[in-house]
Amino acid sequence: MPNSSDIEIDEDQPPSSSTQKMAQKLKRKVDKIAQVSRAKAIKLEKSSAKRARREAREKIREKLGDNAPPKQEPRTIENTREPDDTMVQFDDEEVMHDEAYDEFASYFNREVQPKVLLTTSPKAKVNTWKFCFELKKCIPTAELFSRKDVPIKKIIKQAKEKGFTDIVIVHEDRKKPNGIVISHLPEGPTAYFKINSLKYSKEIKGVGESTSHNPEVILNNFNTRLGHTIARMLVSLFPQNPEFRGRRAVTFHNQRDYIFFRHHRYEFKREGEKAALHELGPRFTLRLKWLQKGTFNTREGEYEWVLKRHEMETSRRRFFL
Amino acid sequence: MQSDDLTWNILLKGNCSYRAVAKAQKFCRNEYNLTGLCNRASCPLSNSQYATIREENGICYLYMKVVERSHYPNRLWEKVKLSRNMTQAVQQIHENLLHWSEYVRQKCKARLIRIHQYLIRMRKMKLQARQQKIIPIQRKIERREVRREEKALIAAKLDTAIEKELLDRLKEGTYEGIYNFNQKAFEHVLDNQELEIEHEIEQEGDEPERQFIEDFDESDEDEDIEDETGFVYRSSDDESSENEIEEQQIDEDESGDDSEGDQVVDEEKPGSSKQRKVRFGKLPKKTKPASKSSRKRIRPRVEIEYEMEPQPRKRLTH
Repeated sequence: MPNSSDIEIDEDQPPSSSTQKMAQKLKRKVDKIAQVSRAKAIKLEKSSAKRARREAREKIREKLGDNAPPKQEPRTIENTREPDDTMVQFDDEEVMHDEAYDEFASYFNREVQPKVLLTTSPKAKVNTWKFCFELKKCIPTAELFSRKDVPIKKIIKQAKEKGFTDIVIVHEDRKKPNGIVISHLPEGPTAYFKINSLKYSKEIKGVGESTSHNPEVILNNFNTRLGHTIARMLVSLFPQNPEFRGRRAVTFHNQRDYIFFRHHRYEFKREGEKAALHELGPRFTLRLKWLQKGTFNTREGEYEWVLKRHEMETSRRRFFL
Repeated sequence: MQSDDLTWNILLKGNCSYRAVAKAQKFCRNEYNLTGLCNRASCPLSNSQYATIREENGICYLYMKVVERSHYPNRLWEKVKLSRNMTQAVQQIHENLLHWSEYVRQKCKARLIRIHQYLIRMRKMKLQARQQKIIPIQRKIERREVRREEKALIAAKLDTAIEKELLDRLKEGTYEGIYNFNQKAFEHVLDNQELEIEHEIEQEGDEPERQFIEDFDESDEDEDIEDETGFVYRSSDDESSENEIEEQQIDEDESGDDSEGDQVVDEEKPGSSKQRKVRFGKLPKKTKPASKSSRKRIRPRVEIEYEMEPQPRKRLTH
């Protein structure tokens, strides 16, 4: 390791400025190298110490077997989430009873097949239409219409007459889609989501082509009552009979109130021990803004849940879905 | 005129409390300022003869200040109400500021036009308020949301979660008959599951019979399933030996029935088929197509799976 003491300014010669400057530059460079290598050495030491501690802990655990102190779990936001009264336990009868009679019961009893009406806000631009086309490919029973300044309540009336079960309106702002209104038709609840990040299929690397099989729906982490309602609402857009041969999976994963949407084709490898995913279709994130009972009626409707920023976002450990 | 240049010099070099400096420009926050910029010609403090247009509640007024009144601050500004009609208002400005400087006259007229334009826009927006409400974007909150979303994405570990979910579904048997995987791998898993469920059944004997009430059309199937679950745990010895025999049969059958893709069990034992079933096999006597039966049987669980987090740690209070 070169030390700074190796470089000496020769004091016998009269110190001319250029040689002095060069010598100083050299000294600085050498110092820097020394510093970098010292830092690396310290880092190496730390990591080896950590490894040694970890191995020591494992040995103790092996020795003691069952009596070993429990494994230290790292503290995560999910671990330290504020306890929520509306968390649904696994076999909660009240919830099951409610869900047997709520607005989505007809979907889950297979009485109606979903039929989705897809449209945009008036005078939508190219990006929104792109997004709508992708959604149309993703949801098998979707039909796309152009909006042409028809007020939403009229759309709802016409859709009900034609037998649609859901309306999805993609809202646009500044030439980009920024929100989705999902309304379940026969008197169903309406939810407004904000689209946080959107990646079209073409922008995803190595994207695959989707097929027209009915997809399977995966819903992760919808734990509270509100989460259950939203999950059922999202599921009721897709047909009830997934075609497993198509191996298409649509995922809505909720993490800390952000719902991540992914669309994959899966394949089981290694004799059913591993699953491989090939991404298709768009990738976006949703955040629920409000949920309203009844069809779209922002002024007179009864809101079941509204995100009030200043009141609800104060705690970092508090989530609603 | 009375000490305008002096005032301006002082204000320019010193501190003017109405001045707001932005990167490229200086603005004047004085409410009587005509253009909003901090200029020699626009400063109301350093011009003894000055005029502005201001709007209150939708009505525009012309304010004028002259040198003669500079010692009466109470009556400094003369306020003239302008007509609602824009052309007439421009005429009024022209009349009132007849021999004033071009700069002030021009800027007054321009300001009047701008005010009228934004008043029109406000009225239009009020009428159209039914359709769209304009809300300001709060940048701090937007940035916070973006950051939290990134962290949530990392915490979500989407790919592993999805793969885990799919593998769970595979092991549960949702994809019955579609995949021909190595029996050993499955059996290993099935044994584990059997042990688990055995343990459960010991605790609650009643459970299996309550689950299949809904299905009325295919009671046959349900009975079979019931028997199957019931049977598996009452005589496990028989089951295991039969399993082995059936495995061999399956291997033989597979080669022939690859086109079907179903794992057909019990082709050689139709009589005892009711009792001897492997979890992932299908009885040939069932006339309904395989996918539909699997769909019906597992109806409540195909589409929805709620991933339950472990009960969140309740906060301890002392």
